[in-house]
Amino acid sequence: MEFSDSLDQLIRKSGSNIKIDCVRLGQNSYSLILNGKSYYITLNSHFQGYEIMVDHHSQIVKVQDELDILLEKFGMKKDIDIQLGEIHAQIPGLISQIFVKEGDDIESNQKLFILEAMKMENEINSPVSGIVDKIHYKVGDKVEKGNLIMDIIN
Amino acid sequence: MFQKILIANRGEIAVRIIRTCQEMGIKTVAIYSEPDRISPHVLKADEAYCIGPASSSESYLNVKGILNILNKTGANAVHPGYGFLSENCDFANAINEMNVTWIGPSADAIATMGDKMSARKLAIDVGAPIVPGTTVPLTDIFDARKTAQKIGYPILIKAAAGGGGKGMRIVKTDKDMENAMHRAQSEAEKAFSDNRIYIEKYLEEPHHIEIQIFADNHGNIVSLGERECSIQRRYQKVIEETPSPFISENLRDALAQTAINITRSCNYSGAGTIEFLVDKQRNFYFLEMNTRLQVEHPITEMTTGFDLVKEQINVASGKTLSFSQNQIKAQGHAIECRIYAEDGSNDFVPSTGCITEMIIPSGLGVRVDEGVRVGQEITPYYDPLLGKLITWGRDRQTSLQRMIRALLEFNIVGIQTSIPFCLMLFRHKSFHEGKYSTHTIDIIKDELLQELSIHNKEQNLAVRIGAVQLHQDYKSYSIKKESMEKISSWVSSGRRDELR
Repeated sequence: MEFSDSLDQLIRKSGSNIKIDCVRLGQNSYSLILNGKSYYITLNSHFQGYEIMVDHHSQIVKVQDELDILLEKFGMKKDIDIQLGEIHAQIPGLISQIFVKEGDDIESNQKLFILEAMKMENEINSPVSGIVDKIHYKVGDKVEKGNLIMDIIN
Repeated sequence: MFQKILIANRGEIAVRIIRTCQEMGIKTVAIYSEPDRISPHVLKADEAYCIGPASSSESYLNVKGILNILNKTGANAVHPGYGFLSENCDFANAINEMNVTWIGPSADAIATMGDKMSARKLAIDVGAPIVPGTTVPLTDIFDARKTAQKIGYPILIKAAAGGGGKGMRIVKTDKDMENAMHRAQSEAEKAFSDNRIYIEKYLEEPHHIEIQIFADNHGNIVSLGERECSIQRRYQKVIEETPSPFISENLRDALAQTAINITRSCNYSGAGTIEFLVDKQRNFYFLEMNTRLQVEHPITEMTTGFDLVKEQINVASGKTLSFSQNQIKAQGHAIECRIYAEDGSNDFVPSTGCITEMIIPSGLGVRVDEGVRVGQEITPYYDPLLGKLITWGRDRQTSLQRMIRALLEFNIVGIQTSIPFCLMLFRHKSFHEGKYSTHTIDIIKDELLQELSIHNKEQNLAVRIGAVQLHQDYKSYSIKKESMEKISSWVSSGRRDELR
């Protein structure tokens, strides 16, 4: 979901007359009274955008500036788009085993590697089928949350 | 009565113990690892000492360090909480040797019941039914396969030395056996330094029901009723309630009597829990005994009205139990929801980060045993339990509505928590009707995940407005997007070796 970064544009886009009263509470929270309805909105940062939560339901939202829109129009992206075949570390941990190598043909749900964290061995499986393109780490490496571990292409 | 108690633990249970000590006029000593410096238990205790760096082995499991602090502070007793050293006989013995009282059962009782093998044997001797399985621990894949085939698949592989779901694996067919065995042994070795496993028959739609018992040093043993703990994921409990909507009065009595018999036969003292599995046909089987206070003890406190930590301290100081079996009358219904630092929408992957805001629910029948505070960094070194939300009501319906309301109110910002997922769980008809088993989360998981996203037009708009406002604010404060994904400082301070 992308839209330009101006509340006026947002109101215009929604096509109706809406009253917005948005007050910042803290670093990651807002009180929004939207047409009389009260919402407590919180944020969790996410590498794919902003993860916004309302009433414990959440959605990942990307906001584009005019610059972003312009760059995209000319085929240059400012941010890196996350594609389905990019396998990122969801938590910081240690790569204790890797089951595939570059060039391997793999199937959806196939075992890729083990990420050890919080005293547990997390088996990471592939969300797609394809070919392992690049593996960016080796066994024994420590990784941070969000690090790109490997790429799988169709 | 003790003048000073050292709490050899952290997080919510350390806070829990400190609270009761304060009510009893007993001074408290807290120990903390470096990243736990501003943890609530440190702030609430009378004295606090740094026990070591982040890794558990160098801090909360650092026996030598803890004994030094014991010496220094002159504490008369130690409460070990749950997990960490609470079921470690060497530690219990070391405490006793210093003429300090161990708040818990004897080292022998801990040893006997702590080893799953000897506990099963004791249960058999007492005439308690047990789940078909091995009576000797195994390490060899050959033996394991043979045993599994004899018991009949599906089977469960469990670590002989531990709990908390570590090292557990279900194996449905023989061809999965080898891989599962390797995984389980590897986890068990890392968690308990003991790669022995044993094998049990895997029961159909089992219910996990446990009995809280209490014993003093004068021969008195009572049962404080059951707790239904069947809602689990990765073999860790998520939700508990009492009374169990599944069992009859007869079954309750049978479970209680069996629990008391087992307790008596191992010369027990203090708080203990006997865990049973109850199958679809309502046959029950002894699973194990936990020789410590359990995470979910609050629901028993809410229905019986007794402070179990206070009772533990009383029993350890030599007093007789403050209640007889006749005086224990459970009233109303209590439910507990564990709050974990996990992403419920992403296979419960642990979440780390700094808590920037926290709104804790309150009101009639709402209790929160919290173990974290705003400004605290949640690290991957420890169990991801942040705290517990407990509700009580005159009946199950009231307690449930209260839980849903309290979860809606509960907001922790800065990390992912299990709150949204649990909210969906409590709203699901499986829970409403009280018809669930240990398989439930696996079965309804996808349904619940659908619920987590926004599908209400108004919420959708609210979310977008929030995002746009946030984006503008971030820009105007010159906060770069990269800083949102900034790794917190503890990671870059060079202690990466501890991530194992």
